Amino acid sequence: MGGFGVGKQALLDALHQGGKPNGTVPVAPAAPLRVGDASGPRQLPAYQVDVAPVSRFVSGAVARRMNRFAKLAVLGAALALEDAGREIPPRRNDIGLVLASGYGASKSTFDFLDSMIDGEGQYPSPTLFSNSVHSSAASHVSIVMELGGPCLTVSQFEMSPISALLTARDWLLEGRVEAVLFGTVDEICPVLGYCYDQFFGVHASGPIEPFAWDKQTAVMGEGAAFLLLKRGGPDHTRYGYISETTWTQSRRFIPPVDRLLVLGADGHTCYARDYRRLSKLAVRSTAYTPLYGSLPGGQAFDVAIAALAVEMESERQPVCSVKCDAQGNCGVIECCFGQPH
Amino acid sequence: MDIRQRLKQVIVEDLNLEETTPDQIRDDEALFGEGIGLDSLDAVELVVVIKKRFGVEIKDMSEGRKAFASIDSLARFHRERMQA
Repeated sequence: MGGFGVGKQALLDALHQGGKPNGTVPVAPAAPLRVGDASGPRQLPAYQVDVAPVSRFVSGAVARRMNRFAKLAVLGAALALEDAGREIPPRRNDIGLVLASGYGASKSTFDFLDSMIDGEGQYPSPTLFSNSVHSSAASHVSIVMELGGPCLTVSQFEMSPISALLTARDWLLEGRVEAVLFGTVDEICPVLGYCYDQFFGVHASGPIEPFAWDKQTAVMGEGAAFLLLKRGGPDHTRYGYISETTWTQSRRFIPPVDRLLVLGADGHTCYARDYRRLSKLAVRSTAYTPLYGSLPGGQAFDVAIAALAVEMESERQPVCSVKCDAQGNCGVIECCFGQPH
Repeated sequence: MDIRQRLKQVIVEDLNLEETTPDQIRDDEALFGEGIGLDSLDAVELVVVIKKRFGVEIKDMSEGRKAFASIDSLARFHRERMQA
């Protein structure tokens, strides 16, 4: 789910029709407004998610203890498991969970810090505290989905999805679990809006132009993308298989010639140099960031899109998703076509 | 607004009682257990909320147990503290 809507069909519709920011985030001015300045807070465009559909999977009594970040996670995980259907191992103890997030539950974290500051440290909110802990959302997912396997949260900004996926791969190869629910969650919060406004100003107004290398065009995005992963090979699943998961340095990575390269280029100029080089080396390259926005965990969306392309048989060549960060790291995830059941 | 009504509104909003409205809470209904169904985590949150919203401090468990019995008892506790 993302600014395009909730569920697989919403993502498919966005792929056909294109995507754009679906909301705005108010950004308070950094300095007090001048007397007579009636301009008020600015509105920055953003890709936002409506988490109301989570009520399909959890009661209000359960949901009341979840913050919005956890609701994003639970909704994403529930949709993935619903879609997986009979692929789900019968024993829930055989399913692990790895959740990736670049920002974590930042709204709850800042709200909790505010509650500390406002009350001079005497009255911090216990609910805000429990929700501000990064692993809280994964715990909610485990409890709601009754997953009894290992549960981990990974936060390494843009490298969060590749890092989480490497862990998921290890768990599967070690035989520790039969399946891993792998997903990424990121949430927009007022502090993020403030940062976009301060760092990028009018350039944060979009639209995202992933291949305009010298232009800052990133637009805030949020959402969740989950996949149920199992051991297997080419003849195993309807969504194909992941043949390669590599964390390397961007300057060392040479994209294979026969791959469609899906770049995580999201309009940030700080990564542009690496993406520009890769796009020149690749025979074919594309970017789906204008569908879901700029968020650290965006690579999971690209993998989900690659899986959909396999299912729809619109791409028979392997798809190579590449995400770069400002430190020169590069996460490479290769998705290949698999035979149907 | 009447203090009881304000307390109900604050409890519903700040404790995220998504399936309860302020009007559904009776003045003499137990807030914890069989009544509204609040639990121990809510109790800690409620101490923070009452201090933040009403400026009234609940200092220990025995005081809290008495005050948190119902909306009536909480309103009474608030009145006594404001008069002290």
